[in-house]
Amino acid sequence: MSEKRESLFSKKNMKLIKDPLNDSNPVSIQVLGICSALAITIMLENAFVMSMSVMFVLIAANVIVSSLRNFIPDKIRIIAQLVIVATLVITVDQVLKAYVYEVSKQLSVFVGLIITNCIIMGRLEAFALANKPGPAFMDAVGNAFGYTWILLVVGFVREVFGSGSVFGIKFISDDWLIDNGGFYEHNGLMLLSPIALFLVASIIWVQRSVNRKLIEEN
Amino acid sequence: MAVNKNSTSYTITFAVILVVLCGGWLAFLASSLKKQQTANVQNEKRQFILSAAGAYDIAELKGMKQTEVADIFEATVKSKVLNVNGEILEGVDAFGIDIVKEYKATIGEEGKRKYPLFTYTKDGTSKYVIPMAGNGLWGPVWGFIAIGADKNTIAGVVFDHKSETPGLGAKITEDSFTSLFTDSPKHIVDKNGKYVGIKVVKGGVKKPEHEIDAIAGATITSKGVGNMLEGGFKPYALAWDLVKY
Repeated sequence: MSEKRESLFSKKNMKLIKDPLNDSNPVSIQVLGICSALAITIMLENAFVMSMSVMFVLIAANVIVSSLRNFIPDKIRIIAQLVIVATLVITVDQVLKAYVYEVSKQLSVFVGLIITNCIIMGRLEAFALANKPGPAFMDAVGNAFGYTWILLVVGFVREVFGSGSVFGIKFISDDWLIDNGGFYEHNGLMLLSPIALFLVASIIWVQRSVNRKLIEEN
Repeated sequence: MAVNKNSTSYTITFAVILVVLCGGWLAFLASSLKKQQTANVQNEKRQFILSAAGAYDIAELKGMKQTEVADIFEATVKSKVLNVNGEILEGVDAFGIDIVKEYKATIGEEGKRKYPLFTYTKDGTSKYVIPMAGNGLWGPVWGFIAIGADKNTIAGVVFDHKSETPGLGAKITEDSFTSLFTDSPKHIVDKNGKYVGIKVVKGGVKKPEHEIDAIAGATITSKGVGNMLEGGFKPYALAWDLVKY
Protein backbone atom coordinates (compact mmCIF):
# COMPACT_ATOMS: atom_id res chain seq x y z
CA MET A 1 0.00 0.00 0.00
CA SER A 2 1.53 3.27 -0.99
CA GLU A 3 1.45 6.25 1.33
CA LYS A 4 -0.08 9.37 -0.11
CA ARG A 5 2.60 12.11 0.14
CA GLU A 6 1.15 14.80 2.28
CA SER A 7 1.42 18.30 0.89
CA LEU A 8 3.53 20.69 2.94
CA PHE A 9 0.55 22.97 3.31
CA SER A 10 -2.07 20.34 4.13
CA LYS A 11 -4.65 21.05 6.80
CA LYS A 12 -2.78 18.94 9.34
CA ASN A 13 0.46 20.76 8.67
CA MET A 14 -1.12 24.22 8.75
CA LYS A 15 -2.46 23.34 12.20
CA LEU A 16 1.18 22.88 13.23
CA ILE A 17 1.77 26.52 12.45
CA LYS A 18 -1.46 27.88 13.90
CA ASP A 19 -1.56 26.02 17.21
CA PRO A 20 1.65 27.44 18.73
CA LEU A 21 0.50 30.95 17.93
CA ASN A 22 -2.34 30.71 20.43
CA ASP A 23 -3.57 27.39 21.83
CA SER A 24 -0.14 25.95 22.63
CA ASN A 25 2.05 29.06 22.63
CA PRO A 26 5.52 28.01 23.80
CA VAL A 27 5.99 31.01 26.08
CA SER A 28 2.54 31.71 27.47
CA ILE A 29 0.97 28.24 27.49
CA GLN A 30 3.84 25.76 27.56
CA VAL A 31 5.84 28.29 29.65
CA LEU A 32 9.14 27.62 27.91
CA GLY A 33 11.87 30.09 26.97
CA ILE A 34 10.94 32.59 29.68
CA CYS A 35 14.52 33.63 30.51
CA SER A 36 15.23 35.25 27.18
CA ALA A 37 11.74 36.76 27.12
CA LEU A 38 12.75 38.73 30.22
CA ALA A 39 16.27 39.70 29.40
CA ILE A 40 16.23 40.76 25.77
CA THR A 41 13.01 42.68 25.58
CA ILE A 42 14.21 46.07 26.81
CA MET A 43 14.59 47.24 23.22
CA LEU A 44 12.53 46.05 20.26
CA GLU A 45 15.54 45.70 17.99
CA ASN A 46 17.16 43.23 20.38
CA ALA A 47 13.91 41.31 20.85
CA PHE A 48 13.59 41.09 17.06
CA VAL A 49 17.15 39.86 16.44
CA MET A 50 16.80 37.33 19.28
CA SER A 51 13.50 36.06 17.83
CA MET A 52 15.07 35.67 14.40
CA SER A 53 18.05 33.83 15.94
CA VAL A 54 15.80 31.43 17.85
CA MET A 55 13.69 30.94 14.72
CA PHE A 56 16.73 30.03 12.65
CA VAL A 57 18.07 27.61 15.27
CA LEU A 58 14.65 26.04 15.89
CA ILE A 59 13.82 25.52 12.22
CA ALA A 60 17.28 24.27 11.24
CA ALA A 61 17.54 21.97 14.27
CA ASN A 62 14.05 20.57 13.73
CA VAL A 63 14.66 19.84 10.05
CA ILE A 64 18.13 18.37 10.56
CA VAL A 65 17.17 16.18 13.52
CA SER A 66 14.01 15.06 11.76
CA SER A 67 15.97 14.09 8.64
CA LEU A 68 18.41 12.12 10.79
CA ARG A 69 15.79 10.64 13.10
CA ASN A 70 16.19 7.11 11.71
CA PHE A 71 19.97 7.28 11.87
CA ILE A 72 20.66 8.66 15.34
CA PRO A 73 21.66 5.85 17.73
CA ASP A 74 19.48 5.77 20.85
CA LYS A 75 22.39 5.86 23.29
CA ILE A 76 23.66 9.22 22.07
CA ARG A 77 20.36 10.77 21.11
CA ILE A 78 20.47 13.75 23.46
CA ILE A 79 24.17 14.37 22.89
CA ALA A 80 23.71 14.31 19.14
CA GLN A 81 20.86 16.84 19.43
CA LEU A 82 23.04 19.05 21.64
CA VAL A 83 25.91 18.96 19.16
CA ILE A 84 23.61 19.97 16.32
CA VAL A 85 21.95 22.76 18.30
CA ALA A 86 25.30 23.99 19.64
CA THR A 87 26.74 24.16 16.12
CA LEU A 88 23.73 26.16 14.95
CA VAL A 89 23.91 28.52 17.93
CA ILE A 90 27.62 29.17 17.37
CA THR A 91 26.87 29.81 13.70
CA VAL A 92 24.29 32.45 14.64
CA ASP A 93 26.63 34.02 17.20
CA GLN A 94 29.49 34.31 14.70
CA VAL A 95 27.26 35.76 11.97
CA LEU A 96 25.81 38.35 14.37
CA LYS A 97 29.30 39.36 15.50
CA ALA A 98 30.30 39.88 11.90
CA TYR A 99 27.28 41.73 10.52
CA VAL A 100 25.40 43.38 13.41
CA TYR A 101 28.19 43.84 15.94
CA GLU A 102 26.38 46.43 18.09
CA VAL A 103 23.32 44.26 18.52
CA SER A 104 25.46 41.21 19.24
CA LYS A 105 27.13 43.09 22.09
CA GLN A 106 23.77 43.98 23.61
CA LEU A 107 22.55 40.41 23.30
CA SER A 108 25.88 39.43 24.91
CA VAL A 109 25.65 36.01 26.52
CA PHE A 110 22.02 35.41 25.58
CA VAL A 111 22.73 34.22 22.06
CA GLY A 112 24.98 31.51 23.46
CA LEU A 113 22.21 30.68 25.92
CA ILE A 114 19.76 29.86 23.10
CA ILE A 115 20.89 26.28 23.51
CA THR A 116 19.41 26.30 27.01
CA ASN A 117 16.11 27.62 25.68
CA CYS A 118 13.70 24.82 26.50
CA ILE A 119 11.70 25.45 23.36
CA ILE A 120 14.52 24.08 21.20
CA MET A 121 15.17 20.81 23.01
CA GLY A 122 11.47 20.57 23.82
CA ARG A 123 10.40 20.57 20.17
CA LEU A 124 13.23 18.25 19.14
CA GLU A 125 12.23 15.62 21.68
CA ALA A 126 8.48 16.09 21.36
CA PHE A 127 8.19 16.40 17.61
CA ALA A 128 11.25 16.25 15.38
CA LEU A 129 12.31 12.77 16.47
CA ALA A 130 8.95 11.26 15.54
CA ASN A 131 7.97 13.20 12.44
CA LYS A 132 9.06 13.82 8.87
CA PRO A 133 11.12 16.92 7.99
CA GLY A 134 8.17 18.66 6.31
CA PRO A 135 5.90 18.65 9.37
CA ALA A 136 8.95 19.28 11.59
CA PHE A 137 9.64 22.42 9.58
CA MET A 138 6.05 23.62 10.04
CA ASP A 139 6.12 22.85 13.77
CA ALA A 140 9.32 24.84 14.14
CA VAL A 141 7.89 27.78 12.19
CA GLY A 142 4.76 27.76 14.34
CA ASN A 143 6.62 27.64 17.65
CA ALA A 144 9.11 30.22 16.49
CA PHE A 145 6.33 32.63 15.52
CA GLY A 146 4.57 31.92 18.82
CA TYR A 147 7.78 32.88 20.65
CA THR A 148 8.37 35.85 18.37
CA TRP A 149 5.03 37.59 18.83
CA ILE A 150 5.27 37.36 22.61
CA LEU A 151 8.78 38.82 22.54
CA LEU A 152 7.76 41.61 20.20
CA VAL A 153 4.71 42.56 22.29
CA VAL A 154 6.73 42.62 25.52
CA GLY A 155 9.56 44.44 23.76
CA PHE A 156 7.18 47.01 22.30
CA VAL A 157 5.59 47.82 25.67
CA ARG A 158 8.93 48.01 27.45
CA GLU A 159 10.59 50.19 24.85
CA VAL A 160 7.63 52.56 24.43
CA PHE A 161 7.13 53.16 28.14
CA GLY A 162 10.71 52.67 29.27
CA SER A 163 12.60 54.59 26.59
CA GLY A 164 9.98 56.47 24.61
CA SER A 165 11.06 54.94 21.32
CA VAL A 166 10.18 52.21 18.83
CA PHE A 167 13.08 50.34 17.19
CA GLY A 168 15.33 53.12 18.42
CA ILE A 169 13.31 55.91 16.83
CA LYS A 170 12.41 58.28 19.63
CA PHE A 171 8.96 59.77 19.59
CA ILE A 172 9.19 61.31 23.04
CA SER A 173 11.46 64.29 22.56
CA ASP A 174 14.17 64.84 25.20
CA ASP A 175 12.73 68.34 25.76
CA TRP A 176 9.60 66.84 27.27
CA LEU A 177 11.56 65.16 30.07
CA ILE A 178 11.17 66.49 33.59
CA ASP A 179 14.98 66.62 33.91
CA ASN A 180 14.99 69.10 31.03
CA GLY A 181 12.14 71.22 32.37
CA GLY A 182 9.29 69.24 30.83
CA PHE A 183 6.49 67.12 32.22
CA TYR A 184 7.24 63.52 31.18
CA GLU A 185 9.19 60.83 32.99
CA HIS A 186 10.11 57.52 31.36
CA ASN A 187 8.92 54.49 33.33
CA GLY A 188 12.17 53.18 34.81
CA LEU A 189 10.52 49.97 35.96
CA MET A 190 10.14 48.96 32.32
CA LEU A 191 13.91 48.72 32.00
CA LEU A 192 14.20 46.10 34.73
CA SER A 193 13.68 42.38 34.09
CA PRO A 194 10.85 41.71 36.57
CA ILE A 195 8.42 43.86 34.57
CA ALA A 196 8.71 41.41 31.71
CA LEU A 197 7.35 38.71 34.04
CA PHE A 198 4.35 40.91 34.80
CA LEU A 199 3.81 41.60 31.10
CA VAL A 200 4.00 37.92 30.14
CA ALA A 201 1.63 37.12 33.02
CA SER A 202 -0.79 39.75 31.70
CA ILE A 203 -0.61 38.21 28.24
CA ILE A 204 -1.32 34.76 29.72
CA TRP A 205 -4.30 36.21 31.61
CA VAL A 206 -5.78 37.87 28.53
CA GLN A 207 -5.11 34.81 26.38
CA ARG A 208 -6.78 32.44 28.81
CA SER A 209 -9.81 34.68 29.16
CA VAL A 210 -10.33 35.15 25.44
CA ASN A 211 -9.45 31.67 24.18
CA ARG A 212 -12.38 29.35 24.98
CA LYS A 213 -10.30 26.19 24.61
CA LEU A 214 -7.94 27.21 27.38
CA ILE A 215 -10.54 27.94 30.05
CA GLU A 216 -10.30 25.14 32.58
CA GLU A 217 -13.31 23.48 34.16
CA ASN A 218 -13.01 24.85 37.67
CA MET B 1 21.27 -6.78 5.79
CA ALA B 2 20.18 -3.73 7.67
CA VAL B 3 22.74 -1.86 9.72
CA ASN B 4 21.95 -2.00 13.43
CA LYS B 5 21.89 1.63 14.41
CA ASN B 6 22.31 0.78 18.07
CA SER B 7 25.45 -1.29 17.70
CA THR B 8 28.60 0.12 19.29
CA SER B 9 30.50 0.41 16.04
CA TYR B 10 27.65 2.28 14.36
CA THR B 11 27.26 4.59 17.35
CA ILE B 12 30.95 5.45 17.34
CA THR B 13 31.04 5.96 13.58
CA PHE B 14 27.98 8.21 13.70
CA ALA B 15 29.44 10.27 16.53
CA VAL B 16 32.76 10.72 14.74
CA ILE B 17 31.15 11.74 11.45
CA LEU B 18 28.78 14.18 13.19
CA VAL B 19 31.58 15.84 15.14
CA VAL B 20 33.87 16.08 12.11
CA LEU B 21 31.12 17.65 10.00
CA CYS B 22 30.11 20.15 12.70
CA GLY B 23 33.72 21.01 13.51
CA GLY B 24 34.57 21.40 9.85
CA TRP B 25 31.61 23.69 9.24
CA LEU B 26 32.47 25.91 12.22
CA ALA B 27 36.13 26.14 11.19
CA PHE B 28 35.08 27.19 7.70
CA LEU B 29 32.64 29.74 9.09
CA ALA B 30 35.18 31.21 11.50
CA SER B 31 37.78 31.75 8.81
CA SER B 32 35.25 33.30 6.40
CA LEU B 33 33.95 35.79 8.94
CA LYS B 34 37.22 36.65 10.61
CA LYS B 35 37.98 39.72 8.50
CA GLN B 36 34.62 41.36 9.15
CA GLN B 37 34.71 40.52 12.86
CA THR B 38 38.22 41.93 13.29
CA ALA B 39 37.16 45.15 11.53
CA ASN B 40 34.23 45.44 13.95
CA VAL B 41 36.45 44.99 17.00
CA GLN B 42 38.99 47.53 15.77
CA ASN B 43 36.24 50.02 14.99
CA GLU B 44 34.90 49.59 18.50
CA LYS B 45 38.36 50.17 19.97
CA ARG B 46 38.61 53.48 18.10
CA GLN B 47 35.12 54.44 19.29
CA PHE B 48 36.06 53.66 22.91
CA ILE B 49 39.29 55.67 22.76
CA LEU B 50 37.57 58.67 21.16
CA SER B 51 34.61 58.60 23.55
CA ALA B 52 36.80 58.18 26.65
CA ALA B 53 38.74 61.24 25.52
CA GLY B 54 35.45 63.09 25.26
CA ALA B 55 35.80 63.70 21.52
CA TYR B 56 32.31 62.50 20.75
CA ASP B 57 29.42 60.91 22.57
CA ILE B 58 29.57 57.12 22.17
CA ALA B 59 26.09 57.10 20.63
CA GLU B 60 27.26 59.51 17.92
CA LEU B 61 30.29 57.35 17.16
CA LYS B 62 28.14 54.24 16.90
CA GLY B 63 26.02 56.01 14.30
CA MET B 64 29.00 56.75 12.07
CA LYS B 65 30.39 54.60 9.30
CA GLN B 66 33.55 52.64 10.15
CA THR B 67 35.57 54.68 7.65
CA GLU B 68 34.42 57.95 9.27
CA VAL B 69 35.52 56.79 12.71
CA ALA B 70 38.84 55.62 11.30
CA ASP B 71 39.42 59.02 9.66
CA ILE B 72 38.70 60.93 12.86
CA PHE B 73 40.96 58.60 14.80
CA GLU B 74 43.76 58.94 12.26
CA ALA B 75 43.53 62.73 12.39
CA THR B 76 43.38 63.27 16.14
CA VAL B 77 45.08 60.38 17.94
CA LYS B 78 48.78 59.66 18.24
CA SER B 79 50.12 56.60 19.98
CA LYS B 80 53.19 55.38 21.86
CA VAL B 81 54.12 52.23 23.72
CA LEU B 82 55.80 52.32 27.14
CA ASN B 83 57.44 49.68 29.26
CA VAL B 84 56.80 49.16 32.98
CA ASN B 85 59.35 51.86 33.90
CA GLY B 86 57.71 54.45 31.73
CA GLU B 87 60.33 54.35 28.98
CA ILE B 88 59.18 54.62 25.38
CA LEU B 89 59.53 51.48 23.28
CA GLU B 90 60.32 52.35 19.66
CA GLY B 91 58.80 50.66 16.66
CA VAL B 92 55.90 48.96 18.45
CA ASP B 93 52.38 49.41 17.10
CA ALA B 94 50.20 50.63 19.97
CA PHE B 95 46.82 50.09 18.34
CA GLY B 96 47.65 46.52 17.43
CA ILE B 97 48.14 45.51 21.06
CA ASP B 98 45.15 43.60 22.42
CA ILE B 99 45.33 44.77 26.03
CA VAL B 100 43.55 41.71 27.45
CA LYS B 101 45.90 39.31 25.66
CA GLU B 102 48.93 41.43 26.60
CA TYR B 103 48.10 41.31 30.32
CA LYS B 104 47.35 37.59 30.17
CA ALA B 105 50.60 36.82 28.38
CA THR B 106 52.70 38.72 30.89
CA ILE B 107 51.20 37.65 34.22
CA GLY B 108 54.02 37.73 36.75
CA GLU B 109 56.33 39.19 34.12
CA GLU B 110 55.30 42.84 34.18
CA GLY B 111 58.81 43.70 33.10
CA LYS B 112 58.02 42.37 29.64
CA ARG B 113 54.60 44.01 29.34
CA LYS B 114 53.92 46.67 26.74
CA TYR B 115 51.80 49.64 27.83
CA PRO B 116 50.11 51.54 24.98
CA LEU B 117 49.33 55.24 25.34
CA PHE B 118 46.97 57.13 23.06
CA THR B 119 47.12 60.91 22.94
CA TYR B 120 44.04 62.72 21.64
CA THR B 121 44.66 66.30 20.63
CA LYS B 122 42.07 68.90 19.70
CA ASP B 123 42.41 72.68 19.60
CA GLY B 124 45.81 72.45 21.20
CA THR B 125 44.80 70.53 24.31
CA SER B 126 45.63 66.87 24.77
CA LYS B 127 44.01 64.04 26.65
CA TYR B 128 45.81 60.79 27.35
CA VAL B 129 43.92 57.52 26.93
CA ILE B 130 45.27 54.49 28.77
CA PRO B 131 44.01 50.96 28.02
CA MET B 132 43.92 48.50 30.93
CA ALA B 133 42.78 44.95 31.53
CA GLY B 134 41.71 43.02 34.60
CA ASN B 135 39.77 39.98 35.77
CA GLY B 136 36.04 40.15 36.34
CA LEU B 137 33.87 37.42 37.80
CA TRP B 138 33.35 35.27 34.71
CA GLY B 139 35.99 36.60 32.36
CA PRO B 140 38.19 39.57 31.49
CA VAL B 141 37.21 43.17 32.02
CA TRP B 142 39.00 46.02 30.30
CA GLY B 143 38.79 49.75 29.99
CA PHE B 144 40.07 52.93 28.39
CA ILE B 145 40.79 55.62 30.95
CA ALA B 146 41.35 59.17 29.74
CA ILE B 147 43.47 61.55 31.78
CA GLY B 148 43.33 65.28 31.22
CA ALA B 149 46.09 67.65 30.19
CA ASP B 150 47.26 67.99 33.83
CA LYS B 151 48.21 64.30 33.64
CA ASN B 152 46.42 63.71 36.91
CA THR B 153 42.66 64.17 36.66
CA ILE B 154 40.42 61.51 35.12
CA ALA B 155 38.70 62.99 32.05
CA GLY B 156 36.57 60.05 30.96
CA VAL B 157 36.28 56.27 31.15
CA VAL B 158 34.91 53.45 29.04
CA PHE B 159 34.68 49.91 30.42
CA ASP B 160 33.85 46.66 28.71
CA HIS B 161 33.72 42.98 29.57
CA LYS B 162 33.30 39.59 27.97
CA SER B 163 30.74 37.82 30.10
CA GLU B 164 29.91 39.61 33.32
CA THR B 165 26.43 39.16 34.77
CA PRO B 166 23.82 41.29 33.01
CA GLY B 167 22.32 43.80 35.45
CA LEU B 168 25.17 43.41 37.94
CA GLY B 169 28.78 43.18 36.80
CA ALA B 170 27.76 44.25 33.32
CA LYS B 171 26.78 47.62 34.78
CA ILE B 172 30.41 48.74 34.60
CA THR B 173 29.70 49.74 31.01
CA GLU B 174 26.77 51.93 31.99
CA ASP B 175 26.62 55.64 32.65
CA SER B 176 25.60 55.02 36.28
CA PHE B 177 29.10 53.65 36.94
CA THR B 178 31.27 55.54 34.47
CA SER B 179 29.86 58.92 35.50
CA LEU B 180 31.23 58.32 39.04
CA PHE B 181 34.68 58.92 37.58
CA THR B 182 33.90 62.39 36.31
CA ASP B 183 31.15 63.68 38.64
CA SER B 184 33.85 65.07 40.89
CA PRO B 185 37.60 65.35 40.21
CA LYS B 186 39.46 62.09 40.60
CA HIS B 187 43.26 62.19 40.79
CA ILE B 188 45.78 59.42 40.33
CA VAL B 189 48.46 61.21 42.32
CA ASP B 190 47.82 62.69 45.76
CA LYS B 191 48.74 66.14 47.06
CA ASN B 192 52.14 64.95 48.22
CA GLY B 193 53.06 63.62 44.82
CA LYS B 194 52.59 60.01 45.88
CA TYR B 195 51.03 57.69 43.31
CA VAL B 196 47.73 56.27 44.58
CA GLY B 197 45.81 55.24 41.49
CA ILE B 198 42.04 54.89 41.82
CA LYS B 199 40.45 52.43 44.23
CA VAL B 200 36.99 50.89 43.97
CA VAL B 201 35.62 50.52 47.51
CA LYS B 202 32.59 49.01 49.20
CA GLY B 203 30.67 50.52 52.04
CA GLY B 204 31.13 54.17 51.24
CA VAL B 205 33.82 56.35 49.75
CA LYS B 206 36.15 57.95 52.34
CA LYS B 207 38.57 59.73 50.04
CA PRO B 208 36.43 61.13 47.22
CA GLU B 209 39.47 62.19 45.17
CA HIS B 210 40.88 58.71 44.90
CA GLU B 211 37.98 56.32 45.47
CA ILE B 212 34.95 55.10 43.54
CA ASP B 213 31.92 53.39 45.06
CA ALA B 214 31.62 49.72 44.02
CA ILE B 215 28.47 48.36 42.36
CA ALA B 216 26.08 46.74 44.84
CA GLY B 217 25.73 43.04 44.10
CA ALA B 218 28.78 43.03 41.82
CA THR B 219 31.58 42.64 44.36
CA ILE B 220 33.98 40.54 42.34
CA THR B 221 33.56 42.51 39.13
CA SER B 222 34.06 45.76 41.08
CA LYS B 223 37.15 44.28 42.73
CA GLY B 224 38.48 43.31 39.31
CA VAL B 225 38.00 46.84 38.01
CA GLY B 226 39.56 48.21 41.20
CA ASN B 227 42.65 46.02 40.91
CA MET B 228 42.96 47.02 37.29
CA LEU B 229 42.83 50.73 38.13
CA GLU B 230 45.13 50.65 41.17
CA GLY B 231 48.22 49.51 39.35
CA GLY B 232 47.33 50.39 35.78
CA PHE B 233 48.44 54.03 35.83
CA LYS B 234 51.85 53.41 37.33
CA PRO B 235 54.03 53.12 34.20
CA TYR B 236 52.39 56.25 32.83
CA ALA B 237 52.82 58.15 36.08
CA LEU B 238 56.50 57.20 35.94
CA ALA B 239 56.78 58.34 32.34
CA TRP B 240 55.29 61.70 33.24
CA ASP B 241 57.62 62.11 36.23
CA LEU B 242 54.54 62.42 38.38
CA VAL B 243 55.80 60.05 40.98
CA LYS B 244 58.17 61.92 43.21
CA TYR B 245 59.48 59.03 45.25
